[in-house]
Formats: sequence, structure tokens, C-alpha cells
Amino acid sequence: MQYLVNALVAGLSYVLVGIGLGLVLRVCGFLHMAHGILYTVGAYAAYVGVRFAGLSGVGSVILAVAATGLLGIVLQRFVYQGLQRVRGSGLGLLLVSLAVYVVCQNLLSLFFGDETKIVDMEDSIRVRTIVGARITTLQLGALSVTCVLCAGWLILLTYSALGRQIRAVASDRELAGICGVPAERIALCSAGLAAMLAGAGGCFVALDTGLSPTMGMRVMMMGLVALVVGGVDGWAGVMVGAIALALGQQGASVLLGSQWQDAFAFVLLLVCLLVRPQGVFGRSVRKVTV
Amino acid sequence: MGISHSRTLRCEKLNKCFDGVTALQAFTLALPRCGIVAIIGPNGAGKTTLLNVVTGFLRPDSGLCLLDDRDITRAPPHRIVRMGLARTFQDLRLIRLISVLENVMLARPNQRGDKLWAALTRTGVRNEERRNQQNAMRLLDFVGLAGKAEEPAGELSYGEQKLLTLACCLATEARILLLDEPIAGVHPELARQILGLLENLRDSGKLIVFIEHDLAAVREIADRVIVMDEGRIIADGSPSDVLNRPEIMEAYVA
Amino acid sequence: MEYVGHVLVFVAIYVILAVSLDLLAGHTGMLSVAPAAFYGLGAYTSALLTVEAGASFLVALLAGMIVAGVLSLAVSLPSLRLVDEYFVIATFALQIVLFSLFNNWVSLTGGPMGIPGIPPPAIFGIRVTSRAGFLVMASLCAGLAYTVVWRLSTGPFGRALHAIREDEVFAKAAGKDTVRLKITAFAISVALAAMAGSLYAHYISYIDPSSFTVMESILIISMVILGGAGSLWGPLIGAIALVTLPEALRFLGLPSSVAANLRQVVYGALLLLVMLLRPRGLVGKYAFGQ
Repeated sequence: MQYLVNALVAGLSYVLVGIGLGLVLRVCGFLHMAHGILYTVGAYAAYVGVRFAGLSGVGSVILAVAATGLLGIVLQRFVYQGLQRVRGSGLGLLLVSLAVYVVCQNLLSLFFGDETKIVDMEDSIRVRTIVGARITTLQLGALSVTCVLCAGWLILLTYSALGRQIRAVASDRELAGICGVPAERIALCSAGLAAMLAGAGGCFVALDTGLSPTMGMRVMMMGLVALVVGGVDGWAGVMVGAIALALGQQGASVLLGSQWQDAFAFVLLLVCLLVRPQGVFGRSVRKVTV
Repeated sequence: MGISHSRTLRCEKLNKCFDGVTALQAFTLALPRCGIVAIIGPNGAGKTTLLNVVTGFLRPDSGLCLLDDRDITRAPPHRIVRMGLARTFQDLRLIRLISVLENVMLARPNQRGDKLWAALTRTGVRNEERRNQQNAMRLLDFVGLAGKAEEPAGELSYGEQKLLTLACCLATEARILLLDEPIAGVHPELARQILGLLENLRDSGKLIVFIEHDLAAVREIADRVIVMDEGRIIADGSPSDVLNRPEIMEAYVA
Repeated sequence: MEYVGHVLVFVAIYVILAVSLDLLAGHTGMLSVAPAAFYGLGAYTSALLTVEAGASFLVALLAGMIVAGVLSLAVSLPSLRLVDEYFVIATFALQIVLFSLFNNWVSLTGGPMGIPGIPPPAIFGIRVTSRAGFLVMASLCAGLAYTVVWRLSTGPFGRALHAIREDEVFAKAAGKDTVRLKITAFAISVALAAMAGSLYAHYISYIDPSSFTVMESILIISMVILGGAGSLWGPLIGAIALVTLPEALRFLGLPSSVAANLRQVVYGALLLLVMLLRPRGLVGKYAFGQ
């Protein structure tokens, strides 16, 4: 039972980052390799909020989400959008986002230092025991909020006007444009939403375990694996992928040793690509020609 | 039905569905050893899908493709080309940055220089390149592009690029050529020239299968016309048979 | 003079890394985010074989190259039948995982402490201990790598690779076995990177995981893009520029931790600027993202 709890806590980062990656991939058309930095920025925003402004847990979440949402929109508007207009290819934007990651991570290091920081919060120390598993108040809060966010996201997608527009652009950008959907504005909204989700994830982890400038890279990879395994095509698949990944990692850690956690993710990715590349819920992704 | 050794390309009950749209329905066809066969039909009839399936770019959901009685249904495109079946594309695929000559040389078969060891040590590669170059120039001559051999392919006119794709197709030394709209969008004089080339190729023993919308051209050079609609064949015969039937024309125009 | 020799050794090593990545990315159009992982793989394999198993330098060097080549299949075989992004994702995952193994598999790799005491190279009994001697050896290796890439990027093989880069569908229709060619290009590329790793390990005589991070991969990518992808001079110029530039920064007298981060901010910013303004780089023939 403890393993399940551990997996869920780890998985919440993966799912929040994974949803965002999938959203940006499908709406803006490229793999946002700098997505991990939004997670990290959320973590540092929370740190700054608690340490220097004395914010509570809730307050720091709000700050983190606001800060990262803003950063996500700024990046999309001033860095990526220009390139998207001129040349459409995903690989070019991927490279640009890699560059953005490098610059941002190192700026964080310069500003805050490389060492891992801890945020002292009562909630992260107070431990409860539920169904035989130990979980802190903070982790419980984070899990609940994540569930609410996931549910909210799916509801937004399915029932709201914005959600419909997002789905339209994701499925066929040109056609959506012809039907009057403002694709660029939707891309900006999507970038913002994706960033906010990642920022929330980073904030939770910062308050729970601690933060360092490099924390985003690994989580981004996990989010990617969750997305691929769950299916890039669907919108809810990544949630399944994240849970599966986190559970599998717990298993690998217990059976083989903690250094094999990441290797498990890689093996899972490879198996997925070999056996069912479209992911559990997706449609075909083989190379097709006209 | 005919003697099996005179059949080269055969499709048996090909089925292909995309997201609920049926592109090919139990499609069955047998083609002769040589000649000119035209495939016509309204948009969405499944003509290009058929081409993609036969040449290995798409896998059918079920059914078989056979070339000289060998199963090519799941074969990758490059192997099908080596077995003697080559194609062109509706949207003129070429390597625009390199010269016309290099494009044709690319398509030459069995290049030693493609193998790793030969590429590193260059044994025999120079002679082979020279032979390939001569062959390629001969092909460019045949289609009438010899004068533009050194120009980057991207700088050719639309019609010239169409000739180039034909030359590349020929360069593979394939016996069967599947051409996707070979004269669409070119002016009538060039169209005439291309049709003349196709007849020439037929006379030298090749099988030309082409998708076209220009019925006059079809009437002029095709030995046999196959009409497709909604993924199946609705007519199959000589041009005079098929093109004069009102119900066929109705299906086409509708 | 010793200092100049030292810098030149690194120029040689990075020329190998840049040129080998260019074969893959610039000539074949396949973006890999894992060159540093294979660099590290070569370094660790070579170090472990000489330190733990007493193997000779040449055997260790070759072993590193073979291990890298074989591991490359784990990435290429599952991902090459799918759309381009999956290859990048798979290399990214491999980069994260290999770093994680270097860092966490303490019993084998020494973890963050790394492997000290790597013996200097000995070729047929002659030990290369002087810097000048090492420079000669490194330059010969760089020359070898350069020749391999030159041979493979020209003539019919190069023509086939460029065709894959420009229009893989056309290449297939022209009878090229594009999957085999891509697997080959990737395997050669990583084997050369592993060779560079081996040289590095035996030159510095101590390796640790921090030299083989994602940041290092992005640095190598930057060298290729800055110099110009798909040309023979491009990666050479890029490597020289990005190895010598930070040495110039050294004279500013900044504290070393700040210097490291600042250096990376500069690399990242350079990559960003080049991708946005002149993706062809200084002398390149291929621009990613067009």
C-alpha cells in the first residue's frame, strides 16, 4: 500500500507535466523540450513565496501557477511563435526549446545556486496514516489538487468553448483556421495552461521534498514517456501512462534497486514503441505518405 | 481467366479503411505483362490508396498483392522497387537541392556505393558512378532533359519536374511503372510528349499503369481502362467499351 | 604552451564529437539529444576495462565503440519506423537513463565520485604520457573520424543520406533501404562519439557523470548548428569556436561555479540566436526546421 502511495505522489508530477507536453505538441505542433523548466520555475516561485513572502501552501501554489503561466505565454509569444509562422517544422522548434531550457536552467543556477534547497513547511512534516500507508498532509493535498486539475482539464476540454477550440486546432490547424478558430490565440492559451499545470507540479514537489535547478529535466522525460505510453492522440491517456510508469518504477526500485528506476522508464518506452507505438489509447503513428 | 505466367501484378481482395472511411473494398485486379492501363475514377475513389498499397507505402487491412506470384503485401517499398515495380507521386517528390542528374543517379539500382564498406574504402565506386552517370544521361536524353542535367532540380519548371520524376522512375530499371497523374497540370504540348514517351516505353516491353483525369489522353493511349469508385472496380475493359457507357460517365461526374 | 596544448586536445576531442553528430543530424537529418551519453558510454567502458580488467588501451577503445554501436540499436530499431519525433524522444530518454546509471550505479561506476586513476594510453607497449604525444594521438583520431564522415557524406552513400534528409519517401521510392541506412548512420555516429569518450578518459585520467549530461549533448548540438550542419567545415569550425571561446572567458576571472553557468547561458543563447536568425549556421548547407 505504501508503494501505491509513493507511486501516486511521484506520478502526479509526471501527469501534470505530461498533459502539458501533449497539449503543446498537439496544438503548437512541436515537442516542447523546455517544458521541464516550467516545472522548475514553479518550484522556485513557491520557494521564493514561502521563504521571502511568508506565503502559505495555497498561496505559494497560486504564485507558482501565475508565474509559470506567464512564462509559458511569454515563451510561446516571443520565442516560438515567430519561428512557427516562418517555417513550420517541429524539429527546428524542438532545438529552439532545447536552447531555451539551457539558458533558463543556468539562469536559475546563477540566481539561486546549484544546491538543493528545502522548504520548511509544517504540512510537509505532519504525517498521517491512511489505509496502512504513511502520507503527509501536503502530499495528500497535492494529490487531491492534482485529481481536481485532471478532472477539470478533461471537463474543460469536453464541454467548454475553449476546449472545443483546442480540440479543433489540435486535430487540424488549417481547417480550424478556416472555420474561424483563432489558432494563434489558442496556441497561446494552450501554452499558458500547459505551463500552469507544470508549475503546479513543481510547486508541490518543492514544498514536499525540495528543489534544485536540474529537477525539471528528469520529470520532463517521465512526462514524455507517460504521454507516449498513454497515447499522444488521446487526452486522458497520459494519466494512465503516468500511473503505469510510476507504479512500474516503484516495482523496479523495490525488486532491482533504486538506480534502475529511470532505466525502467526507458525500457517501458522501448517496449511501447516496439509493440504498440500509438500508446494504449492512440491511433497509428507509423510513417504514412500521401 | 488466363494463363498465370502472363500475369505480372495481381491484387486479391484488398481492403483498406481509414478512420471509418473505406478506401479499398475487396479490390481484385490482374494486370498483364506489358501495355498501358489507365485507372480513372472520381476523387476519393481509392486510386492513390491503391497505388500506395501496391508499392508498399501502406499496409492493407487484409488481402494480397502479388508480383510474379511472389507476395509483396507486406514488403517494404525499396524491396518492391528492386523487384521491378516503381512509381511516381502526385505531388512531385524530388530532391530539390541537388542537380537533375544526381536525382536520376540516386534512383539507379544496386549501387555498391550504398554499402558501408564500399563507401568507406571506395573500392569500385568510382567506376560504378561513371557507369551510373552515363546511364542517367541516357535517360535524361530520352525524356528530353539532357540540357538541364547540372541544374538544381528545384529550379526546373513544373512540366520539366514531371519529366524528371519519370526519368527517376525509369532509372530504377523497373518493368512496371505506376504513375500518379503524369500529365496533370502540364501544357498540352508537353502532355503530348509525355504520352509519346509512355507509348515508347510500352513498345519496349514495359507495363505502364497510370492514374489520370484527362479522358482524352486515356482514350488516346490506353489499351485498357479500369474505373474505380468507392474503393472497388466498377468497369474494366478497352477505352471504347468503358468510356462510352453512360452509367460510367455518370458515376464519374457525380 | 602547455595550456595551448591542453586546449588543442579538447578541440580534437570535440571535433570528433561534432563531426560524428553532424553525420547523423546534418547529413541524415536525424536529431539526437544523446551524443554526450555515448561519449560517456565510451569513456566509462574504456575506463572500467583498463582499470578493473587490466585491458589494453586499444582493446578498451574498440570495446567502447562496439558497446555504443550495439546500444544504438536499442534506440534505432524501435523508433525508426515511426515519425521523426519518436527518434528524438528515444535518444532523449537514453541520455537521461545513461546519465542516471552513471550517477546511481555506484558499485559499477563509482556514482558521483566517478572513476579515478585511469591509466594513460599505451599503444603496442609505448605509453603516451606527454601532452604533445597525446595531442598527436588525439589529432590522428580526429583525422580518422573526419575521414569516415567525409567518405560517408559524399559519393553514393552521401547522396542516399541526403535524400533521406530531404525526402525520405522519395528515397524509398528510388529503391533505398532507408531504415538500414539510418541505423548505420546512427551506429557509426555513436561509435565515433564513444571513441572521443575513450580519449577523454585516458587523457584526464578521471571521469565522473557530470561531464556527460544533457547540457553536454546540447553543447555538441550547438557546435554543429553554429558551424553549420551538413557541411564538412561546419562542425569543425563550431567545435573550435565553442572550445576556445570559454577559454577566453577564463581570463575574466570569474569564480568557477559562476563561470560554468555563465558559459552555458552563452551556449544556449548562441544556439537560440542561430536557430532564430540563421539556422544554416556559419557555413552549413542544411537548416533544421525547414
